[in-house]
Order: sequence, then C-alpha cells, then structure tokens
Amino acid sequence: MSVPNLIGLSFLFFFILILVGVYFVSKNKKGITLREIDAFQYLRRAIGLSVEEGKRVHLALGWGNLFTDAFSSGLIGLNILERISRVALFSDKPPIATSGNGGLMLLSQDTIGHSYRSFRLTGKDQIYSGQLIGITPFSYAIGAPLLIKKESVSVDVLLGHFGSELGLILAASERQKTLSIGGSDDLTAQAVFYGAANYPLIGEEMYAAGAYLSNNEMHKASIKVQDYFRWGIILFILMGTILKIIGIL
Amino acid sequence: METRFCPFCGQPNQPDAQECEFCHARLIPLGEIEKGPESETSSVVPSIEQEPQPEIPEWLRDLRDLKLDETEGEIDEGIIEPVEDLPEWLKSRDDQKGSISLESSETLLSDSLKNESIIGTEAMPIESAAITSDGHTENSISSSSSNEDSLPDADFPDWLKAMPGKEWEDDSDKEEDFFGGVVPPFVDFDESLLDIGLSDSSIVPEEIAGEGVSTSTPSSTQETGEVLEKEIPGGLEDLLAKSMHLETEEKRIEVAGPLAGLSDILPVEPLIAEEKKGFDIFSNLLITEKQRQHAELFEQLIAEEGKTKPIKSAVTEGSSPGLRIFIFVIILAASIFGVLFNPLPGKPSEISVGVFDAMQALTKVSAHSPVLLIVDYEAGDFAEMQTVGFGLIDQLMVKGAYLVLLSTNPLGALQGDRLIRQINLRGNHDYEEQTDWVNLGYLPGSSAGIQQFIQSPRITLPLTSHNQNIWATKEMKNIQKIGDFALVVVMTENASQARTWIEQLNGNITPNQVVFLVSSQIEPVVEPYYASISPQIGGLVAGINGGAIYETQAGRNGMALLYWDAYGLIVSSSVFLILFGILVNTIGKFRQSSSKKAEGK
Amino acid sequence: MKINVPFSIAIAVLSAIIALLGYFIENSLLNQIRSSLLQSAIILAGVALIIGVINMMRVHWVEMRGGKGNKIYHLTFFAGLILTLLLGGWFGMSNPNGYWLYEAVVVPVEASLMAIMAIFLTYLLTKIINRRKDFFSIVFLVTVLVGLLTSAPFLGQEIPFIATGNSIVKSLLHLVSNGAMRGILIGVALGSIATGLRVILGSDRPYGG
Repeated sequence: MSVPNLIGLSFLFFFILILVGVYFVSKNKKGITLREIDAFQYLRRAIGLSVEEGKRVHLALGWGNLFTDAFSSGLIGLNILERISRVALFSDKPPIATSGNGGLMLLSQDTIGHSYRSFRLTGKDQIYSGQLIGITPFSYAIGAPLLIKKESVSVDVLLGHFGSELGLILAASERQKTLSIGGSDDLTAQAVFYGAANYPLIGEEMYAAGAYLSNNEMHKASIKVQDYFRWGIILFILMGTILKIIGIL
Repeated sequence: METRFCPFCGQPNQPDAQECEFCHARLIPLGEIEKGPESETSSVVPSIEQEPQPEIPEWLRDLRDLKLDETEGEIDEGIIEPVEDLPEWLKSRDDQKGSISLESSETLLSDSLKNESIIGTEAMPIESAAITSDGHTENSISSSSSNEDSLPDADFPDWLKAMPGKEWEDDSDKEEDFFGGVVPPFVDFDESLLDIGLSDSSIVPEEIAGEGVSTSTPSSTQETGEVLEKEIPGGLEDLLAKSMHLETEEKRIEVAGPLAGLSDILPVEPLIAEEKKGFDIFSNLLITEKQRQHAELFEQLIAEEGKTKPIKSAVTEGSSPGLRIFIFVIILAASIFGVLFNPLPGKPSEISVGVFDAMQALTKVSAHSPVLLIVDYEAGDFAEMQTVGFGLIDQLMVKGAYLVLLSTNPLGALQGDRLIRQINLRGNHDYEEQTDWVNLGYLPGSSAGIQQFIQSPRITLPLTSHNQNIWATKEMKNIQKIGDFALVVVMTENASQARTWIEQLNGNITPNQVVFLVSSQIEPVVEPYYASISPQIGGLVAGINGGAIYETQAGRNGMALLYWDAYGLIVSSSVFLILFGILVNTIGKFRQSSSKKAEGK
Repeated sequence: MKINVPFSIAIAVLSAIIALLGYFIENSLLNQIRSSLLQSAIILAGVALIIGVINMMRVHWVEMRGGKGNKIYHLTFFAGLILTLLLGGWFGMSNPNGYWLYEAVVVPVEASLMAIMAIFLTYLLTKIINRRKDFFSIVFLVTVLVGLLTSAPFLGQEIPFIATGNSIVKSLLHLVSNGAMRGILIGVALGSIATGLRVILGSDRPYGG
C-alpha cells in the first residue's frame, strides 16, 4: 500500500472511530446547541405553511451521479425529502422531488414510498412524487421551471449537486414568486445560490441539514466530528505555516 | 440529625453546633435560635414568633406538608390554634380561604394592632409562585387570594384598608414587592426551582412555559410538591423551611458575636445567604449531577421557549420582465457587434505563467507521440471550452501528435469528435480519424473508473467507440499505463471532475506531463494544484482569457482571439448592466416604500 | 418483492466497505470483487436511467391524456425521444446520421441556454441588494464586479490597479478567493466524508430502510 493510500485509509478509520465514539458519548447527553441557520428555520416554517396553503414543496435533488463524490449532496437531499414528506404527506398536494439522475429518482420514490408505508398508506401518485425531469444538467434545468409553474409550488428546496445551470431554476422560482432554499457541494452552484436564492446554504451548512431538521443523534455526532476535524486541519495548517516561516519545513 | 453545613464556608459541622467550627459563623439562623428552648432570652414579638406559617408560599407549604406527613407534622396543630382568637369578620373570611389565609389574616390583624410598621407586603397570603419565561419571579394570585378579592369591601374597616398591607389590592405593581419578602433566604427564585431538578415537563406551570398567565391548581401544586419531595434533598428542604422564619423577625437580640446582647440589629444571615454564591455552595453539595443536568436542560428549555426568534422574512419580489429584456438586448448587441466589427484595440498583453508552462510541456511532444485528450464537459460549455483549448490542440496538430480521446461524460465521445473536427477545420489541418486520432469513448464509473483506467488502460477500455482495438497500433503498442503517454490534457468545466483527475493522476505520471484546460469558473479550484511548491500539474490554461494569451504567445489567430473583442464587450456591458440594474431596483424600491408611507399617512 | 430491511442494510454496508477498501488496498482479490461490484453498479445505474426515462414518459403521457399542462411540450418530448431512439439506436450516435442530431439540436440548445443563464444571473445580481440587505451581499457584489473587470479589459482599456497584469487588486482577489474556496472545499469534503460514513455505518439509509 502506498503512503498516500495508507494516510487516506488511516484518516477514514480515525474519522469512523471518533464518529462512533462521539455518538455513544453524546447519546446520553442532552441539550446540544446548534447555531441558528436561517434557511433551516425557514424551511421548518415553510413546510407547515405550504401544507396550510394547499401548495407543494418542490425538492430538487440535482443530477449527482451515484459514482461521484457529488452524490453525497444528493443523499442529504434524500434525507430532507424523508422529513418533508412525513410532514406534508397528508396535505392535498404532497411534496414533489425532481432529479436529473435515474438512481436518484428511484431513491426519491423509495423514500417517499417509505414515508407512506410508515403511516400505513399507499402512495397513489408515486410517479409524480419522484420524477426524473432531464438526464443532462441543462435538460434538468429547463424541466424544473415548467414543473414549478405547473404544480403551484410555494417553496423550492434545492439540495443536491448542481452546476451553473442552476440559475435557470432559480430564475423560474423568482418569476413564480416562490421561495428558494438551497445548497450544493459545487462551488459554482454555491455562488449562484448566494446571488439568486432567498436562503442559501454555504459550504458545509447543507451537510448539517439532518441534524437541524431531525433528532438523529448520529447526525449531531457527525457535526461535532466535522468540527473537531476542521479545528484539527486549521491547527495543522497554522503549524505548517509557522514551521515554514521559521525554516524547519 | 444531619450534619450542619456552614452557609458561609460550606464546611460540615456537628448537628447540634450553633457556630461554625471553621469560620465561627452562626449556623442556626436567628429565628431558629429563638424558636428553640435555648432562645428564651429573645424578645421577639410573640405572635410572629409563634406563627411564622402565614408567610410561607403554598408551594413550600405543600412541600412541608408532604414532608410532615411522614413525621406527623406539628405545624398543622399550630396553624389551627390561633383561629379561636380571631374576630368574627375575619373568621368568616378565613372559612373561605382555608388555614393558610386564616393565619395570614390573623397575622395581619395582630401585627397591625401591635406594630403597624411591622406589617408590610410580606405578610400577605401567597398561594403559589411562578417563574416567568424570562426568568423573573412572578407571584400568581391563586384561589385563596382571589377569594379574598371577592370579599365585599364592607367587611374591612377603613383603617385596615388604608394599611400598607392592603396596597396590593389597588396596585398590582406592589405584588412584585411582597414576594421578595417571602422568598426563603437560601432560595433565589430565579433559579431555585430549576436548580433543584424540576425537569419534568408535566409539572411545569404554564407561566414557565411562557404563557405568562397563572393557572395553578391544587392538583398541579400537589404534583409540584411531590416532585419537590423527590427532588429536594432533605437538608436543603429543612434549611428552606427554617430560613422562612427569618422573614418575619423584626425585633431581635443578637446572641453571638461581638454584637451579642444588642437588639434591633440587622440579621446578617438572610442578607448574605440570599447571595447566589451561598446557594451555589449548597447546590453543589446537595444535588446530584443528574439533577443539575436536568435543571440546566430545563433552564435552557425555558430560555428557548420564551424567546421569540424572528425569522428574517424572505423578500419575494415580482419579476421585472422589462429589465430582463433590456439586459438580453444589450448583451446580444454587444456580442454581435464584437464578433462582426472587432471594435476593441489590441490583444491580451498579460503574461500567464500557466500558459507558458503549458507551452513548455508541448515541447516534449513529437510527431506520432500518443497524447491523451480527456474531454469532460457538457454540450452547453462546448463554445467556451473549444475557445480555451483551440491554441493548445492546434499546436499538437501542428506537431503531428497522435490524439487519443476519452471522456467520463456520456456525451463526451461526441464532444471530442466535434472538437477535433472544428479545430481541424479552423486550423487548416488534415487530421484523419484512426490514423491521426482515435476516440476511446465513454469511461463509466467516475472516480473508480478513472482509477482503474490509470492503472490499466488496456483492460479498462480495450476498444474504441467504433469497436476497434487500437492498442496494437504502432503509436499505442508501448502504452501500458497512463505515464506512458507523452502528454495528458484534461479539458473540463467541472470542479469536482478536475479534482478527481488531479488526485488520480497524482503519483502515476510526472506533473510536467499533465496540462489542464479549464473554464474560468473553476480556475480558482485548479490553480492551487498548479501554483503550489510541489505542483501536481504542469500547465494551466483557464478561460477565454487564457486561451487568448496562449494564441497570442503561439502566434496563431485562433478562436479565442476571434471572440476576444466580443468577450470584452460582453464583460464590460455586464458590469454596466449590474450597476444600472441595482440603481433601477433601488430607486424602484425607494419609490415603493415612500408611496406606501404616503398611503399610510 | 420487498427486500427485508436488515438484509438490504447488510448488503449496502458490506458493498460500501469492500469498495472503500479496494480503493486504498492493492489486493487482487479485493480489486476483483470491487471491480465486479462496480460493473454491477454501472449496469444498475443504466437500468435506473431507463426506468427514469420510462417514468418520464408515463408522466408526460398521463398529463397529456389528462389535458394537464401545455400539450405542445408533451408532444415535443415524445417526438424528440422517438427521433433520438430511432437515429441513435439504428445508426449509432457516432454515425453522421446520429451525430447530426447532436450537432443540430443538443449543442445549439444547450449553448443558448447557457447564454440565457448569463442573462438571468446578471438580472438576479441586480436584485441581490433588495433581497438581502447585509454586508456580505455588498462584498459579494463588489467581488463579482472586480472579478469581471479583471477577466477582460473594460472596453478594451485596462483599468489601473485592477486589470493590469498582476495588479494588486487582482492578486488580492486571487489570494482571498482561492483561500476562501479552499476553506469551503475542506468543509464540503468533511461533510461528504461524514455523509458517506453514515451510509457505510448504516445510520443513513437512502434506500427506504
């Protein structure tokens, strides 16, 4: 095994170890405080409001490929979809999830189906609830605006892998006067979100969605571990810089 | 008997000790001393001495009752006794109120007769105390006090109405004051209930939940009492009960210390003991860690619930089609004008190190050397990527390199075909498929597929997109691994794709053999891999700007220079449009708000 | 057939661990298993895409029959689908007959969408101050403007201290934006790792478990 691979594997192993450790330690502790993020605060409120107004919540999962690291953002989107669908299941217009990838579409349908099953209901509109609306980024970006207009969407939640074509979806959202909340793993998409979305999620904020919208201890533990590692990396960078300045490195 | 803890230093003392062995502070508060057999010398007003009970709030009374149930409470007897001495009008009133109110009335009466100044707001009956959501104490007027309110005014003599003790009836603000008088000295109500572990949400009064209106009922009080009985450690409870007496003391004779024998001195314990610090010592000693955690959690819960967190309201503005169309017209005009008339002077004068290094990497490429050209972009980015890559690919064609195309994008094979054909046409080359270039097509599996291809390209993609085996040709027969290519050129507009290629190529090929042609949007992501002390890529051409610099340096008039003027005009007009749009929107918003204000007036 | 949830979790976790180990450890057996898993996953992804397209057809068909939405959209969709299937399936996309479809439809449509997007982004930027009146919106806006000015000469003239060669503003912007991007990427990478590991540990189950 090469040195970089060894380092990589050790890093992952260490990460798992700390994650599990923090999970078990914090499991019995209560009262973890998370800083406020407007997007999540509003999302919680918006789901309820859309149910009251008889409008839909649209969750765009992007077009992250199952084989890329970009898929992780799609997983976050699926996680949120489960929470949203559980809340808005009994609404006249249940939430709708769109994706630009076949795998994501199947997973979204399964997630919504699972929410139905958990309430012992049969999902009648499953083909609408989880839709594939384009298999390339731009076909996805022109398919989503049509759906936003057609389905009288009140909130657009965009969580997944997007590129700059995201601007088209957000422009449609703005034209329909719907509220947009979104985050992505892609830097370009984050820049577009910041410029065009009502509530952008920058950086790793999106990855904290599970902890903010549910009471999952593992999500909370992973946020803590991310913080630990972030501090570790900061210290590592600072140490490297100092060592470089004083001429050791 | 339990060990006595000093309220000042917190040290344990003998159960019967009156002074702390360590700091010589009085262990038994004055009131307690006077009540005991040894306090016969004290000259406290008898009625108060005998009847401290009326001052106790209901929650504490319940608590004590519960405690006394086990030890056959003596206080109950004491409570009923003085009723006989009361006048008729007070008796009838007391019948409605119950024992506590009787006592309070009796106290009011006796105090008023003996010493008016003694009677203060503290002598009023209190049934319950609650804590508001913002942490302030609040006395709630419960059943007994409301009954009292319902009594006809005629039942009270005028002189009694005018007494300070009745002020609360007319001025509700005064209620805040009397509570201070009944707060047990060792209990700070801001935190006392919380700190002793009242974490069960079922017993939380509504005031605590943030509603602000007291609706305490006997049952809830009873529940509270039960929980308190469970949660409050015995020592603290006794202390609370004992300290209650001190509130009623007015004339005291000091029995210890340098002021012994003097009367009417201020009792020191309650004043000091009311300090938070004193209580903290006790709480640390007497409550369990779990109780403390519960209390903290509860405190946090209250703080969270009480706060109204305003969510920034999202501004959902209407669309401005006029502005959109205006932007469209200006940008379209700029691009057409730029392409057709080339109005701007000059070529890019900037010198880019990345471009220079990319040109240097090409010097090692000779005729028929296999060059891997990775085409990883979407059809929408074709125009930009073609402009970026024209100069370098054109030079490769001039050198006669054998181009091997590959893509991790399903449409990439077609993009590659189109790219070579376009550059072939524009650069006046005569490149033929199969003889001068081949297309390996689509590489599935993303990063895993890339890794596999880098390690063993022959096994991963044995055939081209036309189902031909090219690995046996003279150009390709020596290729066993990625490092055997003379040069690897990666064209992408996707940041994560660029990262994946860099990370996978690292260690499998020398950095000088790798050149990246990227769109300007991902330049900041790729640039550190090139500009670091140990670079992982040998050259970098980014955006139309980079492409134009390359062509200028190479002395070729390619696509980047063709569109350079149009690009410059579009960028300039975009800057203007953004500033103009902000101005328009701001003025519009300002007008809207001023018209709303005018309507409001 | 509904797969038992613990069974599906076991398969998911095991596959993930093998794929992860195979990525780091060079072992022929592990690589072989990982390669087989990868091939299966690629096939499954292809099947998922076909299912997705079928789902898309169903939605369009049901909506068209139900008179929901504009019929022209649905008809255009079906016409495009059938044409692509026929030409691509019969001739292959590399064939000039199939290639024509890409050249004449895909590239121009996507390129024009890209252009429209540039217009939309410019338009949306003009509204950023109205949407969010905060300090960072102004910083964002100024950065965009400076970034634009450094990417090309303003009306052919290089603005001193901004667009000229390696000007101070350009270098500063370069350093700050690079640093910020790196920071964000580190955060995103940590988030991705945590998300992936939650799936591997079976805590997150995006497969309805």
